[in-house]
Amino acid sequence: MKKITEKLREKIKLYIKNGLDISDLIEDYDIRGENLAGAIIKRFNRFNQDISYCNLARAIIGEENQITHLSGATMIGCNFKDAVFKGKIWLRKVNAQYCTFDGAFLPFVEYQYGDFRHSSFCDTIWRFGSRAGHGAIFDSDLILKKWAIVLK
Amino acid sequence: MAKQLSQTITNQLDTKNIKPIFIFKINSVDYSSYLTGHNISYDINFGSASATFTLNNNSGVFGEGGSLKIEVGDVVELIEKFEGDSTEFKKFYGLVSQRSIVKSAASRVITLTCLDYISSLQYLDIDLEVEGTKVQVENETLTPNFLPAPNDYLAQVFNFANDSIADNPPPIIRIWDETHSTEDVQPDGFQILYQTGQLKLGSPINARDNYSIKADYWYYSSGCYIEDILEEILIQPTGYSKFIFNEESAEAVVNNHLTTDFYTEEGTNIDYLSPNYSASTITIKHQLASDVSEGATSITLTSTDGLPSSGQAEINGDIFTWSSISGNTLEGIPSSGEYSLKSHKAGDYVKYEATYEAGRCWYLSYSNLISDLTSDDFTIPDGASISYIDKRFGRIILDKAISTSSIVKCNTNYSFKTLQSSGIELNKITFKPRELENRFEAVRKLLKFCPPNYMIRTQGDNKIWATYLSQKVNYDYELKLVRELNYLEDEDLYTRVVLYGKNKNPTNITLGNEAIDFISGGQSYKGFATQTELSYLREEGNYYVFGTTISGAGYIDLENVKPIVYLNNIPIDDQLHQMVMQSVKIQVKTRTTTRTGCHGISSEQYTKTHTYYYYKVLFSHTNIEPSQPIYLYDQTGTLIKTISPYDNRMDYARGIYSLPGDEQNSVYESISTATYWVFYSTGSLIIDYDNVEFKIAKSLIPNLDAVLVTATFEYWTVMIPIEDIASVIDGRWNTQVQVEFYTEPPSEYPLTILDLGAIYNIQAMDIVAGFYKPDDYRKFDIDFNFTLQYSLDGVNFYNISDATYNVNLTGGQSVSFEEEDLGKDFQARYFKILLNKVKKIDYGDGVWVVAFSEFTIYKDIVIKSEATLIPTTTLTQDVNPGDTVIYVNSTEYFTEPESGQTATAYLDKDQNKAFTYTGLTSNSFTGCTVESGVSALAGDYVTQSIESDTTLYDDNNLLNKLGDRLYKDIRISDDMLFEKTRLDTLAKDYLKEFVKNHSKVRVTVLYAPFLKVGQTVRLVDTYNDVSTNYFIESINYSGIDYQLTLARFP
Repeated sequence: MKKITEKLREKIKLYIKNGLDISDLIEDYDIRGENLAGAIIKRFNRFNQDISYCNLARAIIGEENQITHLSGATMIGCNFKDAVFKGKIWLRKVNAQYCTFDGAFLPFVEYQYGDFRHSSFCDTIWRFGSRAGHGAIFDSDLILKKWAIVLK
Repeated sequence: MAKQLSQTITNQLDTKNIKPIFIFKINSVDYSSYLTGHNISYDINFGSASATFTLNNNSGVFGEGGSLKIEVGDVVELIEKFEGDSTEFKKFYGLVSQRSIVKSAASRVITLTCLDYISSLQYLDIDLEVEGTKVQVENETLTPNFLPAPNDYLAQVFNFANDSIADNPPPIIRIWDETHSTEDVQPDGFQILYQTGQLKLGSPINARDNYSIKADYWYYSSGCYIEDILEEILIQPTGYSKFIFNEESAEAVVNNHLTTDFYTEEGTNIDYLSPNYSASTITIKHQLASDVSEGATSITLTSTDGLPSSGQAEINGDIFTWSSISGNTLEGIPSSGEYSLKSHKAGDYVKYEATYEAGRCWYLSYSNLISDLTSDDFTIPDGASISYIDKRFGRIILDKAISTSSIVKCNTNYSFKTLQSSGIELNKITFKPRELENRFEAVRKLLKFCPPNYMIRTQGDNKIWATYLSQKVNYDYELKLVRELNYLEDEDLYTRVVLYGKNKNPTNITLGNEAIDFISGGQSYKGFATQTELSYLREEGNYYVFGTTISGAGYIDLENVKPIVYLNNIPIDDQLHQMVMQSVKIQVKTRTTTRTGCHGISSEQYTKTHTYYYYKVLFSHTNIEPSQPIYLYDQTGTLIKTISPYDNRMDYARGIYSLPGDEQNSVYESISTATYWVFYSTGSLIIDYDNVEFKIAKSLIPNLDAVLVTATFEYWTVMIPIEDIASVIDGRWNTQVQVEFYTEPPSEYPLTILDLGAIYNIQAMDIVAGFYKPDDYRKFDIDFNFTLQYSLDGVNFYNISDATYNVNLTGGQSVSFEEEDLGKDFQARYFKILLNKVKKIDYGDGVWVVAFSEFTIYKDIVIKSEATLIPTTTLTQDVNPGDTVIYVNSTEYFTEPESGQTATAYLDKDQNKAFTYTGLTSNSFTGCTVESGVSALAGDYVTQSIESDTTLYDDNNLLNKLGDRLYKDIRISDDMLFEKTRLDTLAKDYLKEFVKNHSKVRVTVLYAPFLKVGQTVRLVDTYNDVSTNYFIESINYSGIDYQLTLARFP
């Protein structure tokens, strides 16, 4: 995993501003803590990698009919606010604590045994159910307290 | 390159039979015959040269009244030659600074202390602002970056068509309302990312349907190179409208002192070019010949030299592609979508960046060319041809790579600026008289942006030079007649560099941060409402329903306080309450009767009229207790009447008493107050604890309009979340968030938590209080104390410092926390605001208010760049795929993996030759995994990582010898702003400089007037088995002894 240099960081910013895919720019690079807000990332396979604290707000990730493979990834504190995931996304066994998924669009997510404690899911398009998320861990007060939805 | 030594000179050196000739001139007059001794030195720190000359003054000609009197400021020159050879070596050119006349029994001499012209800069003032090419754009509609669906009508970030936006004059941003064709100039509420050319609003707007953003601004189409700024400094007029070197014009300074040509310097017209020995990434720049409109499919440039027939380039950060070239026109640019163009102006630069393999770039000996060279001026072997000549960097790019051992020549004498290319551009820099003492300080300020080996200096002639000092692959001279040699390793020994600088583009984390939000921590808030007025909600059967006006009252708590409802201040509590001297109303109804008849004797008709008076006392309360007497008083408090218990004239339920009699009664009419007992049964009251509603039987409230219903109760609510984050991050005064409490919040009550969305290094915070605004028109001052706590995980919160504890704010007041308050390298994601004390505002029944209008958090006002050495060792055995142990000289400073973990290292400094290991011994890596295709030989390097912008291979094993030795330079200054890239580059350059210092050698050679600072010399030291190229870092010579300091970069 290579460290992103300041020069590359500037190039990534330039590509994001121009609405260009940054997949090639960040491939094999350590993106922990990087600000990739608004980026287009068609190939984003980070299987078992650590991408913690990466800001992917408003990012458009993946491609139609493709799998974005993030299973086993450590993604503590990542920001996926309003991010759109195209195709399928695998978040199996991820450590996704303290993440923001507010407004994110993940209609075809699979997240079995993922750990999503302390994460927020306000206005998230997300597939709930054992088929997609068997064994996943969420906050016990997610619905009652954070969403303030009454269960009777 | 350097002047080739003639056979005469070579013979004298080889035979050690040297016959030097010294030519000494003052004001161009030859005084060589008087010269008895001299010493010249070049100071590497200041780049200036100083000299002392001793002249025979036996005849007294140089003294006061002498015929050849020397004055301070006279121009001094020293030129040296070898006897029998015409080649002149200019050794010093400067001004007399001091004179010292010495008389002794043996002799009379005058000693002149002289300084070169760089030193004279310390006497000159400066007032200069240098700026790159700035272009104005008016009324540009910025391009919105829409949020993904379903919010694809909103945009928060907008793109300028250009990058490098100028901050002065500041851009004017207007929000154009498309629906109403009106515009709103935004004084603030946004952040401009000057470097990338983007605008961030505090919150998204509907940029698809309602609004567009228009901007007037300036941008830099190109910056100013350091060498050009240096020239500007040197050619400024003096305070007496003269110029340096006593020239009459700036042009004369440039022509005579900042310009030279290859032949003058080298004594030949043939320049042998040096190749790039490894791949080089180079940017080719050409200007637009005419304006470009948005969506243009072809653009015409001033030249297309060096551009491929198809490719990708950018104009001020606007990336586009082309598919063909016709003349100077790039064609086949997409008209829309990715890689299409925005509008741009003639003169803007098209920048094409490409990586050229070794042997494709060839460098002339000098850069910053004045002459226009063409392909005809070069000899290129192997059928290659020139595709691009770069005058600024003094290089050519070939259409194909050729062997790096090829001979590439420039056959034409070319002229160039002595201030050589630095490769560093600045958009703007100012040198103000009140900031800088003199012009020398201005040069030093400018050079702060440069690597330490970019030196301004004189070298004996009447010119000022600025070049990078570094050794070349091909040496200029091999050192001969070495008398003494010392290897120096005793100064500037550092293995790590940290530079701090003030950021040119600091980031306001709060503004435009997609993830930031206020969140509720779920803390409950327990409030106590004391006889708070209830508002009528509705009618339900025999009940009137009242609710609380307190917002956020979740449910009524029964733990400590039993709720009590009051009707006109009388509690409904099954208790008797004596009402003393309560006002009452007297209702009077009259009836008049008329009777007609006649008197018996006179039969006279008569008519009689009589008015009857019926008095009622209306009490202020209903449900008056019948078992108790009621006392009625007049206005003076005199008891008028006592109503006995269970008086049948008294309507106890309705609170009405019918006074006896039917005549007008002035006593009755004087009744003003009454004392009585009231009893409200709780059976007439139903409390809905969950919804905080109070149902009161209609029988208790005969007149809804006349009753005041209040209640005392304790209630719980969850912490009041501040929802509108946009109101406090937009920098605008007229927006704020406020929280109202209807009872004083308990001390340390957690008001809210601010979530930044990620962990940041935070360097400054500004918090501004708002006002209590009960409506759009009124505002009241507020006063509260709060404590700021931080957290990384949102669970465990900690105090930051004393400065952030119990901070008092009043309406409109601001508080700033700087790095000294927050601590260096302070990291946080969450901030919790704990209320310590909130003052009551006398509004309504009283309200406690906390309001904020601004929350600004900066993460990188100060940027830090750190350059480190990469642990490096060498293999002691070959490595092949499948090897599990790799043997090396030392594993010192290599990472030892945690148990069960692996670490990565690289063979031969090759990114494709990585291997992993699980353990270390002192001279081996264990548990290795060496993939197929990865191998290396004994003696090859093993490195912990691959070199990057801020790391350098430790080829000399300095880490093993010296450990961590930090060089730290704090360059935090408001008038020296850095970009992170520049500071990173500088940090690495300094590390290189220090590694270079480990290689220093001091050599004394016998007479070598041809040597100059910056030249590359070959040092052969058979005793220490050294045969290495060094560059000359400094020269100090006295007579015929030349003491050289040599060094070499890694």
